[in-house]
Amino acid sequence: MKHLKFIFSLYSKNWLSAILLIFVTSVSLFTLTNAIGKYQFYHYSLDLFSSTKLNDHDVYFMPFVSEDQRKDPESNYLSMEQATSNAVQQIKNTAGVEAVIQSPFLISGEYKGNSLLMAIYDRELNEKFSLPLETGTWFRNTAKTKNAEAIAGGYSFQNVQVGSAIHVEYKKGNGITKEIDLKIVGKLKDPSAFPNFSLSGTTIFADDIWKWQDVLILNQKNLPDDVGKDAQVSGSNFFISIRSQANYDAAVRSIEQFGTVKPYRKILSDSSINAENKIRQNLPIPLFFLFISSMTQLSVSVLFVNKKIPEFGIYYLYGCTKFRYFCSLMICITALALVSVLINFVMVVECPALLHYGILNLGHVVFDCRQIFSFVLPYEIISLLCSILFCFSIFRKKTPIELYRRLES
Amino acid sequence: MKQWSLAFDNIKNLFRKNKLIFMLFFIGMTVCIICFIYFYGNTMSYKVNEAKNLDLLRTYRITFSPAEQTDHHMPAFLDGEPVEDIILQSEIPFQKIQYQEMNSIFKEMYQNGAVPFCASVKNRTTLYAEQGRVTFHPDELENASPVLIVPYLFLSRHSISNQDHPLLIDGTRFRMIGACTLNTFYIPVNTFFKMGLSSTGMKVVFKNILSVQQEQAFYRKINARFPSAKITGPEPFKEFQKENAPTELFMVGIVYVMALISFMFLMKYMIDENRRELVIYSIAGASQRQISRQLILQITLLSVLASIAAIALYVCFYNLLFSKINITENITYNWRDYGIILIFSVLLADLTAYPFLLSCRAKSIVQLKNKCE
Repeated sequence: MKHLKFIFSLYSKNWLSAILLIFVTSVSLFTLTNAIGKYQFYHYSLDLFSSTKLNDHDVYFMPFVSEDQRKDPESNYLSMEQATSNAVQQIKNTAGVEAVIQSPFLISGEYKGNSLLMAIYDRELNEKFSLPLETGTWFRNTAKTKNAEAIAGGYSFQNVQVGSAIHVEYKKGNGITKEIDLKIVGKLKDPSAFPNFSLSGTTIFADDIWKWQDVLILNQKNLPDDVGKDAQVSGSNFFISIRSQANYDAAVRSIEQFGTVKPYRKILSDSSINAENKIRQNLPIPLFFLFISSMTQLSVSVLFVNKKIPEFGIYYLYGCTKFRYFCSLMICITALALVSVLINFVMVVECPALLHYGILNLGHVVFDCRQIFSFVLPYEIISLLCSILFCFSIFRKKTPIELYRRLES
Repeated sequence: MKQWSLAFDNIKNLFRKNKLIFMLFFIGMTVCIICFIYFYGNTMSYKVNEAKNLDLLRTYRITFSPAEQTDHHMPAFLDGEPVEDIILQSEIPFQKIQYQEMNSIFKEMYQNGAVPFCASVKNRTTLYAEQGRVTFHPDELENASPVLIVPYLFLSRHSISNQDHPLLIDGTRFRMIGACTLNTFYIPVNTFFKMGLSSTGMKVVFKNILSVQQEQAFYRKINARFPSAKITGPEPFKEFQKENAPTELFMVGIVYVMALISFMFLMKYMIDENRRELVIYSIAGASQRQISRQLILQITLLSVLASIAAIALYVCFYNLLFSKINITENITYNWRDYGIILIFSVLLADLTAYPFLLSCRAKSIVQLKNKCE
């Protein structure tokens, strides 16, 4: 009890500096967590891309739809979709091309008031783009059933268990709302993503080929026939699987007549460089904040010790040892640091919900409790240790009689 | 002068009495100012844009009125200048363009009755593709081929029907090779000359941002060559940057103040410990206002010293450390920047310290004396 009273007396006399220390440290730790979260996002998208069954002789294909491509042999103009479809058909017939993988067809739906997308996986996507699961298994059943199999991903399905049946509403093209019962066979790892090949450009990164949204992945094979009819094409680009390395050069030359090609290996290496660049861009500001926060912690600790040190003379007369007095002081400082870590922990736990409901917008970021244990806690321990050692070096030089005299003067 | 001398003496006194706290305060303040310098360089858009060598800052638009007859000798007057590219601009009236859907497409897009055409003299302008190819092949450039890159808006409104839609300009049939994000048609420069188009304007993009002297020399050259031409430099963009600068500086200032508040407790502690001095000033007849002024002077002096130390450290370690952690590469600071930083860091330090100093004052000499005893 007397320890608690001592601690509270210290806080009550220095409440403003204590609050400021907590504020500065919490902000600094959150900027660090955010920067690491951004880096983790780029790394996660890269890992996700590497985990696909694409290989070195697969390429990302962005079709040209210019004047030449939009004419058929009879010199008629075609719609862009028709022109793309013609180009894809010709690529499929090219020697060495194994498969053309297109983005999943999408249906907008709603589950318990949360909007989501249903992505329909065809055979090619199933083969190449099976995603890492948190729990459950990838599609097994290929027969058409009443409760089609689905793999859920995202915050909306946080409380949905594998094996449970869910009821999803979706709108048909004519505006009529339809319902579908689905059986959850697996859950995607967070953050949930599904392939979407819509981005064109000179540089394609791994994070560009995913759509980061709550999703239900459905298997085209066991989906009722009428569901697929309401799906929309989601991306205008493709992945092309080439049969072997031997066919690679000739096949790529043929494909390049219809558009731009980006090899799988090139996307991987560019994404890796991009992830490193992102950390280079995002880390300096948190580092500055952390340095200031460490300096603040040191200053506040020294201030606490300096303000309380003269009182030690009196405590000593009542039998308090130097060690116990110092420990009590350090408990006060440690408690402040722990409060900051705790605030950060709550932020990390609650952020996915805030991001999901749009209350907070931090861009693409992955929050993970491991960040607290791998970065935040070690930093805080080192910073705290420095402050304690510094304070100890001040405290140990003073004898109780010196301190008593200082108090008297 | 007496006040400044007293303030300086007081600082020395603060240092003698609490060396550790004083050093912590001074180092903390220096760190905060280093942060201020870093954030100033990395967030103020005029510094960032300068570092990025933004093309808007090195582009000069020349408008000819009346239009200038153009041939391949025309851009030669800029030979020897550090020019990255010259873009010739022309306008072709609707009457000269034959296109089935002309009325519905062109008239909606270009309301002045003419379609803008551009040609890049050095072929170094980067166009961003929406579809197809947005660069010309060497043979197309060399042979003045009738090819063109169209605005995406044009392509997206292209009629989709089962009829052939040739695009004829002055009787020549042009082939569309791609669509770019801009609202202008692009043709190879030799095609531009071959068609005998008159230039309504010219865009000169320099390799680097011009200094004031270089800019004036360029303006003189243009005026001598085209006396009736109107030149628009990067001034409107610079003005826009200037308008944004106070807001950006305010944001940087907030971060600095938040960081500085953490160290002001140390200053308050030192002044509290030195309260006897304030009692003596009061007994000697100093008013509360004079005491406050004295305390503010101390902060000002300390922040000036800390700013000088921070700037010196930043300059010394810039190449070794700070340039490597810049968010944008090639950020450079000049003495004007350091001057602004010095003034703002001192002003903001005074502003931050003021509430702390107010709490150090007591209402009367008796109160001060009682507090000391």
